[in-house]
Amino acid sequence: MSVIGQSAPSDVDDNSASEQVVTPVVRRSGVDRIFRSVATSSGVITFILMGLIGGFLLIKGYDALKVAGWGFLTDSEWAPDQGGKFGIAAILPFTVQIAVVALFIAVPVALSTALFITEYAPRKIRRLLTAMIDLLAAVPSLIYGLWGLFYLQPRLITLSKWMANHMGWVPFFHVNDEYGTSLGIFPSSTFVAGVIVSLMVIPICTAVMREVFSQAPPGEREGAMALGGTRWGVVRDVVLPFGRGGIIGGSMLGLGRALGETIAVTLIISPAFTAKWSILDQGSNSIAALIALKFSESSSFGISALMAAGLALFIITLLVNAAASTVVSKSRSGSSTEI
Amino acid sequence: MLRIKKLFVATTAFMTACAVIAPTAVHADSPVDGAGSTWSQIAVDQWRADVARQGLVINFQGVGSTAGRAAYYQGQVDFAVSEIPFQAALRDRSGNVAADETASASSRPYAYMPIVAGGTAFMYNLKANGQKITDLQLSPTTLGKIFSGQINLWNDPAIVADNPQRVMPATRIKPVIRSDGSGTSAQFTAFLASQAPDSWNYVCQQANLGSGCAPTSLYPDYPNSGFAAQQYSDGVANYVAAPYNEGAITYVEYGYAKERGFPVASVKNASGVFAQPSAINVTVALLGARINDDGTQVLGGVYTNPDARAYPVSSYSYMIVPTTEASPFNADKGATLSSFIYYFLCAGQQKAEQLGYAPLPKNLVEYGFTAAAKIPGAVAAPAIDSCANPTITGDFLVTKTVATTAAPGATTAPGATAAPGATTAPAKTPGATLAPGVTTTVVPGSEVTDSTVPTDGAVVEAAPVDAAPPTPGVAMATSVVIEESGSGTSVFVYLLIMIAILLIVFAPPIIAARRRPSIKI
Repeated sequence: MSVIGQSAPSDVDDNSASEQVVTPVVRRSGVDRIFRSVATSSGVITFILMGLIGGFLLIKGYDALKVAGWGFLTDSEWAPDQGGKFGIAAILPFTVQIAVVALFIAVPVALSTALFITEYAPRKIRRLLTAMIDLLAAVPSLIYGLWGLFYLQPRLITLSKWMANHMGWVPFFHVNDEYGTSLGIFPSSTFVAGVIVSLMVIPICTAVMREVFSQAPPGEREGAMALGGTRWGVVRDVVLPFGRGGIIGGSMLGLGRALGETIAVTLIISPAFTAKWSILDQGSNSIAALIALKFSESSSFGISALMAAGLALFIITLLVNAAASTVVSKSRSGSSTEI
Repeated sequence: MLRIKKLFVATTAFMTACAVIAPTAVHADSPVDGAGSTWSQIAVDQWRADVARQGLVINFQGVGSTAGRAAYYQGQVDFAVSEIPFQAALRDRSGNVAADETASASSRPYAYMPIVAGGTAFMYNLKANGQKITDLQLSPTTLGKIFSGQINLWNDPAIVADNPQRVMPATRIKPVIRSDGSGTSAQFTAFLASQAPDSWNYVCQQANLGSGCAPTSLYPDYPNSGFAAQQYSDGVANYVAAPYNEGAITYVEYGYAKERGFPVASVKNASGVFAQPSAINVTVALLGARINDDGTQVLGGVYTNPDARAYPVSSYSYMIVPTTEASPFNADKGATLSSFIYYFLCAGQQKAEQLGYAPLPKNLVEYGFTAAAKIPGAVAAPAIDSCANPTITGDFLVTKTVATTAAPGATTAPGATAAPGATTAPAKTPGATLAPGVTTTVVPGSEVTDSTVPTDGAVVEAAPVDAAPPTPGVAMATSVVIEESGSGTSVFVYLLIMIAILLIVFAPPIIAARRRPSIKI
């Protein structure tokens, strides 16, 4: 499903490409024409690919959607293979919950890291940090997942327990009292999955934000300094407003990865099919994980149902990205800083 | 570039050399493709590597049972391996047929044959007063209650009744199921549906699947069931083994529990004895397997095998072989496939125990021969007595009337009064529960006491697992030795892979940076 997660943000690119309507003044040479056609067709391929993926999911999922009808949106069970009901009423909220937890952690950390690298870090450290962030972004999610499963999960649950005990009045952190304080109810939760996903999202967000912040106009930056502004003043009044598009773009790229993250989530969660507010206790789900878990043993009808779920994820990702690109296009840094 | 070319030349030369040196192919005929069960894949992969030396090319993809069956009726593969037979029509809520495997498969006639047997073990993590419990005993009905969420505490009367030898702690039961589709789930749910129908119906109804739903590869879960679900056998085993998951129990292949040094529950069989899932106990149980006219297994006789050694949750997976030359099959492939079948039903079964399975008993080998004979182009089957299957040659003494119950971990701290689990009841009445009075106890520290209690001609032997060689003629679970050598392997391998990948990612930039240190941003 990572295909969907990654392909979705690319529609942001296409908008910017279509906005630049340049009327050629010079007569084109043969090389120009060839290059132009290659570039154009590559751009068109993006659209075709999106259409093919969406169409494929729709066709494959049609059988299941026909049977389930609106129940696909309102049922929270998943038993197409046993002739039972199936729907995404619980799975979709869980998917979003994991992504939100991930972004809740990732965005502030990434923002601070990017600001530190561009504004505060000494040159040598800046170079090292930039390289490290880029490297982290290249580490496969399976590695994060395994590390999360074997190292982080057993340690993180003590934090879960502390939060449940001391912050249980917040609905998100409320844990069913019946289970008492046993650590055993915490490891397979939305929270743990979200934290591990956030680790993979941080480098991506940071890389994008850093790139945009570093392009903040030096003239304005120096002007602010000359007017007696502090470093924080420069960050607040020049870098951040200028980088608004980059912040949103980076977060959305992260959200795309968080929504579609499969392996790490599959390793951590214990699939649940009843939506709930609590993110700390056992039971969570995600569409990508559902597909990974059920695919191999599903009948053709079960696979059709999974494809329908994939379609839902695809649509959600598209909507989120479309919303993000409108926000970005209205921001000051606008077209120049889009990802 | 030159190096790559050299490498290529070398490889080609090597391969040609191999092809020349290799013994003249016995069957130089068509390769055969198969797909299906991941549960059986370890065995199938071993066997096809074995026959590759004889020139038989068997390809197998472990894509899962259901996908394997689909690939069979869609004509993509020559044979399939599955834990469950083709599924009858599946209807959705409005009564429309959503999927019908038997109808799809009817276009390509097939026969089922047994391929590899195994026991589903119940690994648990339970402590009483800070000490690991290693002698848990469970009856099929109790298992049903645990894995349906009907009972919540380890000191529930049902569990206490099964374990008169100890006081059960008031820990919460946490059943751990497989979140992915799995053959283990299929085999366990088949057992539950047959031996604990009340509990199975309870699960079905809670999951809104109607009463008495069919056994399934996807274990049903329902809201507030208290189940935890994890992916893969490794996943559930690690989950149960985690120190914070006290009270957890799961169904998994025996080897996974051994690998982690965790005990598995003894399950009560029809003669009232609590048996461990050792290879011999599984094979003995499978002597009770019957096969329908259509080749599907009837495991009722396995679940209720009256032999005192029988491990009730034993089953085998199927190979689905074509009986006509419908595309893509043909007689040439039939020759290859049948030779492969004769190999794994006979000599191949010698490796079953090493690989974590149990050898198929004679009755199932004979069924396999019958099914193989239906394959078009099949070569003649060897005589059953010349079959090198360990249960036929007598290396694996299943026919001897000796009952063994391996005591799971008589390894509890020295000073414990009784070697837990070394209790075998001479109770012959089916369904009789173990009265504390009839338990024979073995005091650790003393010599290995073979307390033999002759009853109805059966010798019941109690021997701690760790004790030195068992009585000759009694095959103990030798698989223990092999699996221990791989203890912690999976974690170690994961770590190695991680380090390797991190190196690949980090090494080049660091080296590159050293080469040109003058560059400044």
